[in-house]
Order: sequence, then C-alpha cells, then structure tokens
Amino acid sequence: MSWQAVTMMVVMIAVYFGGLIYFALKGERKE
Amino acid sequence: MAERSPQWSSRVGFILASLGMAFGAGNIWRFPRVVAANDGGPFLIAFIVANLIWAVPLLMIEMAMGKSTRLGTNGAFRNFVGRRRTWMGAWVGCCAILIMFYYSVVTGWAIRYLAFGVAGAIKPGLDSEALWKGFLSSPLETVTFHLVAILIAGAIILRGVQKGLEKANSIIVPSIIVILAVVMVWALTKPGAVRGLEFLFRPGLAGLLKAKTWLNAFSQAAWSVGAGWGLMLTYAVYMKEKDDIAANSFIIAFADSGSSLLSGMAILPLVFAVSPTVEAANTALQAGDTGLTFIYLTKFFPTLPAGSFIGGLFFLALSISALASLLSMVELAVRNLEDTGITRKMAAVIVVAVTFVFGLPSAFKISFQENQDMVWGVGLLISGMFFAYAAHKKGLDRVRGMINESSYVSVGRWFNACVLAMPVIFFVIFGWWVWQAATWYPRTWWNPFKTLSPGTMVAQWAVLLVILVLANNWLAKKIKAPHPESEGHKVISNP
Repeated sequence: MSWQAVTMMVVMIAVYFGGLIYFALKGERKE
Repeated sequence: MAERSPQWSSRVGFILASLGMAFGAGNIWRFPRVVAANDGGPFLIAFIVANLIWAVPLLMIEMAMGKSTRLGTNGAFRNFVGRRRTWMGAWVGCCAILIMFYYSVVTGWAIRYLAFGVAGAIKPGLDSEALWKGFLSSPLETVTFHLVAILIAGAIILRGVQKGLEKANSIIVPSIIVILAVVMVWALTKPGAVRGLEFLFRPGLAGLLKAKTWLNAFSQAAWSVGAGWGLMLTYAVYMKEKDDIAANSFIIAFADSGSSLLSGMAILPLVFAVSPTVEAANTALQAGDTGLTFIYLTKFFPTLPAGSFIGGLFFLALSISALASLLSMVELAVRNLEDTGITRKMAAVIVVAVTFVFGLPSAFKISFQENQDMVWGVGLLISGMFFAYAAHKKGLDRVRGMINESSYVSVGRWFNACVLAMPVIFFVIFGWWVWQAATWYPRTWWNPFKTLSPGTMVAQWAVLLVILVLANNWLAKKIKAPHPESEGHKVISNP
C-alpha cells in the first residue's frame, strides 16, 4: 500500500470511529 | 389507572435498537460497491460530511417530533405541524411501509442464503449464478422465505418494546459487528487482499471536485442512516424524558458510518483476494447489490480456506442486519395502528398479514422489487423534505431549543443552516436521480410501466399523494390522543 493510502486509512478510521467514541464517552460521563 | 407508555429500559438499549434500524443490508452490499465506484477516499470524506449535514439534523428533528408527541408518523405530524399536514406524516409512514413490503422479501433472500450456508450448499465448484437464478425462479421458495422473515419480525414486535425490539437488537447489533470484524480479519489474511484496502482508501482528493462523488455520498447518507424515514421518530416515541437527542443522533450516524466502513474493509479485500485480476474484481463490484452478494461472493467464499464457514457467517450478518431494519419498519406500522386505538397484538397481526400479501409481487418478480426500490427509495428524499418543513413550520430555534433541553451536546445555529440548506440539497439529489432514470429510457422515460423510469416514479407518487391529501381529515380524526397521564411525557397539543 502507498503511504498516501495508509494515511487516508488512518485518518478515515480516526474520523469515523473517533466521532463515535467521542460522543459515546461524553454521554457516559454525563450519565 | 392509565396504561403507561412503553419505554426503552436504557440509553444503550435505545442506541442499539436505533443502530439495528440504521444498519441494514444496504450497509453490507451497497456501501462497498458505491465507495469503490466513487474514487474511494474522496467518497469516504464526502459521506461523513453528508451525514453531518443531512442525516444528523434529520435524526434530531425526528427524535424531537417522536419524543414530544409520543405518536407515530401520522400523529406526530398532526400534533407537531398541524392537523392539515397529517397527510405528510402518512406519506412518510406509507413510504416506509411500501419499502417494508419488498424489504421482507429481500430479508427472505438473505435467510435463504444463510440456510444454503448451514446446509453446506456453498461449496467449491458451485455455480452461484445458477443457484441465484434457480432460487428466484422458484416462487415457492421466495414466498416461503418472505413469510419466514415477516413472521420472525412480527413475533419479535409482538413481544413489545423492551422484551421484543430492545432484546433482539441487543443480540443482533453486537453480533453484526463481531461477524463483520471476523470476516474482515479473515479476508485481510488472504494474498492480494491489501489491494482491496488500497482500492477502498485511494487518496485521489481530486475526486472531491466531482459532482458525482457528492451526489452519491448524499444519496448513501439519506438511505443508510435511516434519517427521514420516520423510523427514528417511531423509536423516539419510547425515549425517556431525560434521554439525550443531540449526542444520540451523532452516535447513531457515526456508528452507522463506522459499521459501513467495517463492511467495506471486509468486502473489498475479499473481492480482490479472490479475483484473478483487477478487472475481474471491478466486474464483480459492478454487478449490482444482489449480483455482488448472491453471485460473486457466494462463488468466491468456498474457493478459500474456511471460506464456506465464513460465507455462512457473512449471510448470518446479512440476514440479521436486514431483520433488524425490518423490525423498525414493522414497529412504525404497528405504532401508527396503535395510535388509532388498535391493540399491539392485533396491530402486529394486521401488519404481518398485509406485508405478506403486498410483498408477494416482489417475491414473484424481481423487476417489481427493483421498481419499488427505486420509486420509494427516491420517495424517501421527499419524506426528508417533509421533516425539514415540519421543523421550519414549528420554528427552527424552537425545535433547536427542544433538542437542547435534554442534550448534553449543545446544538448551535449550524442546525438552522443545515435545515435551511435541505431544500437545495433535496432538489439537486432528487433531480439527479430523476434525470439519471430518464437517461436509462431516452425515448420512454414518461412510461409509467417501465421498471425504473421517471414516469413510474411520478405516477406512483402522484397516486399516493392524492389519496393521502383527500384522506387527510379522516387520518387526523382516527388518531386517539396519547395518554396525558404518562409520567414525564410532554405532549404538544394540536394547534
């Protein structure tokens, strides 16, 4: 895999799952 | 003592049920295909943007409507927008119900292939095309598995919100994630699989300048997350008063997108691992949703070590994800019937019987299923617009206030901007789909009897629209008032 594709993969996984984890953790703290 | 309205037992239960609603067959068989056809990386960026601009605000509006009115689509529009707009809620409900009729048939296909996997029929040397065509040409089989699908869904819904919907989704959703992860890890261990990952994450950012990338991203966001279908509104009826709207909307959108990405990371490496050439992989990816799943993947799985077992797991994931989405459609129909005073048991029986009967044409003829998929799939964009209209009519700041009332993530004025932008987005995407359909039938685009023509879409929408507008007052009268005694339920009275 090219480094550009690896970068895209890391960024996309971080955005897709990072958003989920961010809002889920925020909810847990509130609860 | 008044009967207390059912509620989700916990926030996690509500989120899992909502995820079951959002994550359907389309996430598994459509997302990998669409991302492959739209330059990979740029589509993934456009898709998350589309989710944030279109899906998240719509989910918030739906939740606000369901939570505040405690009524299904018809009643929610009557009480939230006004009596004269009940037909809009009926349109939203009818679109989802008309999709449910053929979606039950599609769920039946997935269950049939799961049965093939369990019976050991997915084995090396299998003529998967003959198997698929043989199955479709056997009405006894397609009808039987359609019946199995709707009976399972009906039985779960009959058990109620907590014991049925919530319990089923608490098993189904984690199972889908685990199975997809197993398929992904298995696929990535195969030689050549990394080409699939490279294909999925192609970094050519110039793709972001293509209109097609954005049109496909917004279309996928509109269908994938289930925003604007009325399903989220229905599930929000059972939210607790303290339950959050804003963060839950983000969680559902991100979780649905993340699961789609997971299925992309499982399917594309698999296709590339088993295809002899890149061209062969591209051919498989252009074979349509059912072609990719029921012909190519079914042929590919048994050619690899442990492939028959993994193939069985894959069809298990497909079956239960389709079932979870079907559950939400059945619940939408049942909720609307319950609002008219019919008991849940009777409503579930009626919905199962009606779905079975009206699903038969799709079970008999795949071209009918394709027609309905096109007509009511694009019709859902109209449903989305009705929700945007509802929010606008109520007052965007007022709706935002309702959302922020119980949310720990404060929704700013960006929400207003997104809702105001929705008509523009709608006309562009809607126009693009209608125009696309016209190009498939350059001479007969107006013909309502052509499977995917603009003529068939407009004709069917017009018939439904006229019926619902004429029946508006009757529909509004049929809805019984919700229980005002329900603790903590704020009911917005009919203006």
